[in-house]
Amino acid sequence: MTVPPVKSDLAPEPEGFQPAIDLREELDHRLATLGLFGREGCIEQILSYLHLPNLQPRTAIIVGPAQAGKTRLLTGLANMFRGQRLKVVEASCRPSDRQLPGALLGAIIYQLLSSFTPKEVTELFAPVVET
Amino acid sequence: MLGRLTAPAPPPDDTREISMGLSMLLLKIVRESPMVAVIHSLHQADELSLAAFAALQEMDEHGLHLVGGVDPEGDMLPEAVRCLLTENSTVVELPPLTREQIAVYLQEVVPDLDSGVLGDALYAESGGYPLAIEMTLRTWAESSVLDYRDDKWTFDTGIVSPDDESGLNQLDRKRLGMAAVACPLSFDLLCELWHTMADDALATIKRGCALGFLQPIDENDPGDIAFIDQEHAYILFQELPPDERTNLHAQISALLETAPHSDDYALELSYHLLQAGRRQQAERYLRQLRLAVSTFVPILITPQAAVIGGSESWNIPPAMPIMADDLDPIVHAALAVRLAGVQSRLYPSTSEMVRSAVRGAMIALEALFTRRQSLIISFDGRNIAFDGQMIQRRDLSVAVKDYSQWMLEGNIRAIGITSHVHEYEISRFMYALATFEPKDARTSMLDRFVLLNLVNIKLLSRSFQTDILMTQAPVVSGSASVEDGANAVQATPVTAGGEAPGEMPEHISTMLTEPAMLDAEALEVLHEFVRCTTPQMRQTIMSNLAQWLDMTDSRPNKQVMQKVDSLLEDRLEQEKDHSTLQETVVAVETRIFGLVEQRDWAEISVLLEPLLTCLAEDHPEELQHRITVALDRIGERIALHGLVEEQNGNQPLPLAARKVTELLGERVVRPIVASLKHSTAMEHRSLLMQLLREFAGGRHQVLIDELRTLNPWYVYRNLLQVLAEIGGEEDLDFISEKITYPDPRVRLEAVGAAARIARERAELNAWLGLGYYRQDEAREVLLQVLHPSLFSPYRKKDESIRAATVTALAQHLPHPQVEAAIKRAATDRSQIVRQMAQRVWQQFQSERKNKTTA
Repeated sequence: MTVPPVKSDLAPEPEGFQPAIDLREELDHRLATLGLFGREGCIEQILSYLHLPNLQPRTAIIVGPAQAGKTRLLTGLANMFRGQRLKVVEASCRPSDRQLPGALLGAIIYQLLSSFTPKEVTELFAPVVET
Repeated sequence: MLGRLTAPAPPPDDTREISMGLSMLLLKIVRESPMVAVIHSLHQADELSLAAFAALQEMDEHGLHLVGGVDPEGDMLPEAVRCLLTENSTVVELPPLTREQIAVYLQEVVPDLDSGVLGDALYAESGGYPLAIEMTLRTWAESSVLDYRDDKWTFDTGIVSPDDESGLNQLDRKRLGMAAVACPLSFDLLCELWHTMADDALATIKRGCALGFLQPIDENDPGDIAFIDQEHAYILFQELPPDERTNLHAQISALLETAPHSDDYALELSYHLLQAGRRQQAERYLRQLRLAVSTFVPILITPQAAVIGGSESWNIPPAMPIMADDLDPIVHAALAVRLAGVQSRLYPSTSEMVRSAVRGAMIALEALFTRRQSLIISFDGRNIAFDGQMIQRRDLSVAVKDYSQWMLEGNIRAIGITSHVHEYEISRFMYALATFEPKDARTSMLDRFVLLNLVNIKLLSRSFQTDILMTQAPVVSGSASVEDGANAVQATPVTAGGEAPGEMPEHISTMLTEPAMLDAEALEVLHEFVRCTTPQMRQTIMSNLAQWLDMTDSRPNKQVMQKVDSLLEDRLEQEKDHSTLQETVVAVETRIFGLVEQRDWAEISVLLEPLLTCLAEDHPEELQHRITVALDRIGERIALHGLVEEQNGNQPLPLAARKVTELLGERVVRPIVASLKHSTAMEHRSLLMQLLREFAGGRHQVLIDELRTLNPWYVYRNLLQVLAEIGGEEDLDFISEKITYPDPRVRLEAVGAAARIARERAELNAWLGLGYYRQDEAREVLLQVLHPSLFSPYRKKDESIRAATVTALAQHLPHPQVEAAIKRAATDRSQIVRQMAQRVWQQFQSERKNKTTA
């Protein structure tokens, strides 16, 4: 494999000459377009189960071994929901979370409150906070 | 003291209660709108949160949708998340891609190659898992197995190495495993952990990025990276030997303790300490975190509890007397902490300036806490006090200025710091305090949440009264004053009052301690006592009175309340001490809130008038600010509670209510406009518009301001509808701007409003013009408009037009009929006609007299 030298080391390319394309860039570009390849069925299944924006609580647990693409699928779903103007919070649990009761709930509540307007926060806490 | 009335609920110990509190808040947030929580690595979540989610899923009619990723344990769902398996949940498995799918995939990635051969090799390498497929392709590209040249892909099967499955060498794998344990960690700390130089570390990071393990977070900072997939991180972490992992955790915790801290600092640190086998140290941080969560819960489940808690929930040690030797370390620490706050406000928290200032504050505090367990810094609005003892010193007054402003705006009465305070807490606390924006409810709320994580720094709200602040008698090394060069020091107790500092006459004290004793007679005694006692005692009494008013239902105690009003009115008019006046303003504000609930408009006016007089007087900036804030809040309360509810009753507003709105002026109009902006209920909006028609006359600027601000179309339409009725010629330019607005409904309303205002103006001009047309016909018409006969075509003319005819008729003077008409108009029923006629007549008489004299 010959990886072309960094562009700044090159003299200006002659007119009409096709610039060399970096192998990594080309591969990145092609792989990026296939991020959720083969997961269309799973996405359909999850979306139809959640039945958003219904006011009926639902939980979808995505199970798969390492490298199955859970993180990528979840990120893709979160972006889809955001595109539908739904309120979305995204959190990532770490081993340390087990030490603190309520860590995940707290993180979700914090993110939600951050997305609220001042008026919404005031209304939410109206009975408990003197403003 | 009324401390016992405000004692907050103790933090719950039971984790179920904590869970319930947090769940209830979440439920409240998602009850009316759908929300999706996307959780990565759900199997690592804490048990309490998972249990709360399980309980929430059982409840109907809320919009919480949970989507979580879980690693299986063998072929099973992990034990931790099994509680989520209810009838409202589903499990979606992610299978590997089939050979056929891989073939299609390869046609997209490397279209020139035979996907059969390559596909088989890829399937064998990756097992069909998407990330493994990508990684294998990247590895092949890095090792020249896969190449791209002259727009063509080539694949050399001869050099596929089955051993090198990820393309990382042994050192890289180890380093990435270490990074996986430490993540998130700054680049500098990563270099320290890897025991290498920046260039070498960057080379490893570049390889990790090229092979699809890592991704840059900030393109301008090559060291700022994250794992693309946590699963990779987990695999690399598992490859490290157990002993090495333990050492690694110990190293990371040591690095974290000395580094600038992230939001998750305490949790991360406790985790690494636990994994390193240092349970005792970890417990300290965990205790802080648990306390932070449990302190949060009473706020949610106890309606009357304030966000900023009381000393009971924080366990502040008792205050210690300030000795003469303590003064220098205290002043030094106060200045150093202030400097840290100012630096935090100006520079990023990771900057050397901030870190150095925070370190300076820590050194000063450490020196201070060798002598005492805690320090409470409190304010009476003007003076600073340490552990209840007021210190007056010139160099301190500079530091006090910022504190005083922050604390006043944040409604904070006192800050308590205990001896175990950590650098992290100082920097977080000072940043939150220094950047506090009182007008931004969201910021202030979030800052308060941030502060809840701090356990060695406590805040006491202004409504909180405690012995720690109020009753500690000072003992200053046998002397109450110490000379220190240019800085003269005087120490006096915050609570000094009456003849003996710190003592309150027993009957007054009993009266305030036992609210049931506050009858009309007792209040008269109190009133008399307030008149002749010291400013500090008055301040304490007014502060307690404000709190009593806040806690008492004033409805059944009308006689008592009249006495209270009389006392408050008297204080507003007579009080000269600024701190006491400030407490009085708080009490008046509280009292007026109660009066609004009862719609006692007459009594509101009685208190409002002296309060407005106070505002007009020359007071210090802080006090003026406090009065302004109080009046704004009163205006808002009156507009959105008093007036809206009065209007709901479909009864005409009482005159006393109109008087109150006149007194408050724009302070009533602005909240109505703000509410109109945010209200989506049609009925409520029309009610608000009705109020604006009644009270915004002469205060168009508020409406015009909103017309020029970005708003939804219907807000413009409503404002234009109001302006069409109450607007004047001066508003025409702003109304005209909306004639070209994209929404046709707004355009229509703008044209209508402009036409209506302009037409009235045109008609007025026409009548005024008749004044210059000095013919009998013109005069006859003007006289008919001013005093129309029974069948006159000019009957029922608007009073503004009749007033204009008075002006026009002035041009026809002297004339007997005109003189008679103007004299008659001087007693007209309409005020503006009457006033205009009186003015014209006076001028005419004066000119006539001058002519006669001449």
